[in-house]
Amino acid sequence: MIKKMEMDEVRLREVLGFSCIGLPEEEYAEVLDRANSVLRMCDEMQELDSSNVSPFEWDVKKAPARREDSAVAWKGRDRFLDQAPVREGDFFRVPRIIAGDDVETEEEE
Amino acid sequence: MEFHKLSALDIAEGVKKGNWTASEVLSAHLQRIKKFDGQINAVVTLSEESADRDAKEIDKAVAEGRDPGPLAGVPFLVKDNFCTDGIRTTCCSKMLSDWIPDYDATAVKKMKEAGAVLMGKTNMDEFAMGSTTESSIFGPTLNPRDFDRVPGGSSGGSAAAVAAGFCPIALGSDTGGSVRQPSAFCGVQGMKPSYGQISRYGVVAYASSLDQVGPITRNMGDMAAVMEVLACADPNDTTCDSYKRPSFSEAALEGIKGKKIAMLTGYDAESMDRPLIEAIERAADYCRSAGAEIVEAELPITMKHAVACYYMVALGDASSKLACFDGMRYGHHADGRSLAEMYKRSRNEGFGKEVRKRILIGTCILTRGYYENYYVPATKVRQMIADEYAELFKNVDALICPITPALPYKKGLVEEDPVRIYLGDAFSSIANLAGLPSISLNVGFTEEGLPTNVQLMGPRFGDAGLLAFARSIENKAGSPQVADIENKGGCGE
Repeated sequence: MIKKMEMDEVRLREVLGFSCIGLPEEEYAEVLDRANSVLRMCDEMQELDSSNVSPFEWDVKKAPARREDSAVAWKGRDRFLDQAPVREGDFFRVPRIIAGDDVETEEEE
Repeated sequence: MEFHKLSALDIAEGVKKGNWTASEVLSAHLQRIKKFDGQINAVVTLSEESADRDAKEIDKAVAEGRDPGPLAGVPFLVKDNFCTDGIRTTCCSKMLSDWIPDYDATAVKKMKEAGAVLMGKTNMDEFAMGSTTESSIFGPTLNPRDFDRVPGGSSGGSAAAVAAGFCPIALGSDTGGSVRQPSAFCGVQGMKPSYGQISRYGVVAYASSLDQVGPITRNMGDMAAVMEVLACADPNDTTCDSYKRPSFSEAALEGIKGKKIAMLTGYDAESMDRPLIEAIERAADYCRSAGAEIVEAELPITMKHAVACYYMVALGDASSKLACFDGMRYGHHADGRSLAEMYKRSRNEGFGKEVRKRILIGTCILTRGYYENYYVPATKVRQMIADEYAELFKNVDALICPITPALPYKKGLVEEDPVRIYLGDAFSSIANLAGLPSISLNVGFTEEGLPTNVQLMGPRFGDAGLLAFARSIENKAGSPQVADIENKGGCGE
């Protein structure tokens, strides 16, 4: 049996952390309203007895083709590096991840 | 010669016979885009240089007596979520506004190999999340049949481009109706093939278990020809089935005499726009006159739960698929004092409001409690919907039902009533949930010049048979003409 649930501000704050997205507090009400409209739309699924049904999975007519286990030549390192948001010489520049100040996660906003 | 009114097959035949060159055809279409796209904003990137080069290659092949391919010299456009080698692929989002892939999506590659000439990219809702093509960073696309209305979405730019005569073929992607609903709104033909029929390699995903590549054309002959080109196994897409495809072009020519078609009942027809109900009755009459038998069918689980199930699955998928946009490897980047802050700032600045909302709701659905109470039950209901269709197609060959409950929306509705827009997916999302082939078929226009249409659905991998149904109806209803865009929209020149 499905339990009816609401998305509240506490869960929204958690979800903002999980999804690495920030949201101005003045937009909380709008997102909660939309999320709860979607959940209410889904409550009707409670009427269905799906206890003996397995979760959906695709059936296959013939197994998919597989790639050959061999090296593929791409068009060169520079074409990838050109797409790097921040490039430093021949490297992608990324933030330091093993550092004390990186433990700012869900709570920070 | 008014090239923009020709079908893809007529263009290719003329190129192969030497009646005209691929370069002439390309030039005429590019001129039309430049002259009229300022009014509807369907095209976001033109790739004139590479198109010119490709068209000249086709002309050279013809001159040297080589086979230039079944779509020789046919200009086409693709939605801006298909990777295109050397041409920016933005998903109409700030997140990817400068991103230039170094390879073609398999669907684009197959079109080029068949001799078609890629002219550029079309507008869409940001990351394909929408039904109106109003959430693009390039601004909204207008409906070429009526500039006060939306073209539908998310492949609104592709559908509008075909309707406006910018190209005879455009490609879109369809997660819950994103090829078929805009095709319906713009008065052209759109198809979502079976899941596993066409490779999605190189198409930026919205919801991987639902997404499918789909062609948009102005007639079913062109549609069958494109399907013949696109449908094949692909080792780069493990969801792409490797069964041997039939000839779609030959199958489309078969009649439907003696076939059995179900008309969907049991939905709230009173709440739908009347011309769309009449369109279904008209399509059923066309089938009867072609020798098919019409029966009625109810799909109670589907009609009651499809939209809810669709949003659970789609938003959950989207939340996980879009996690890859982290501002580090490609796409929009914003500096931050820490890794977490950099992620957050990059995603906040890169994604638009609607995308952020959908990611948030999707993430919520996948969290403790909601996952067990909403997401998992939705995957079970999805199986029940698939079973309901499998049972139906044991007894009938195809199903006729609406593709959308409403004629094209006036601009701005998405801001006023987003949940009503969600409910607009009630009919279109079913084919994605069950992986079925589905065609949005134009069956004429209202007195005001708005397109009317029906949805045809068939059993999984019954795409070829479905083309025959669509073509039989089109033979009676006529195929839609290019919109009278010179005179601010309308049903045809």
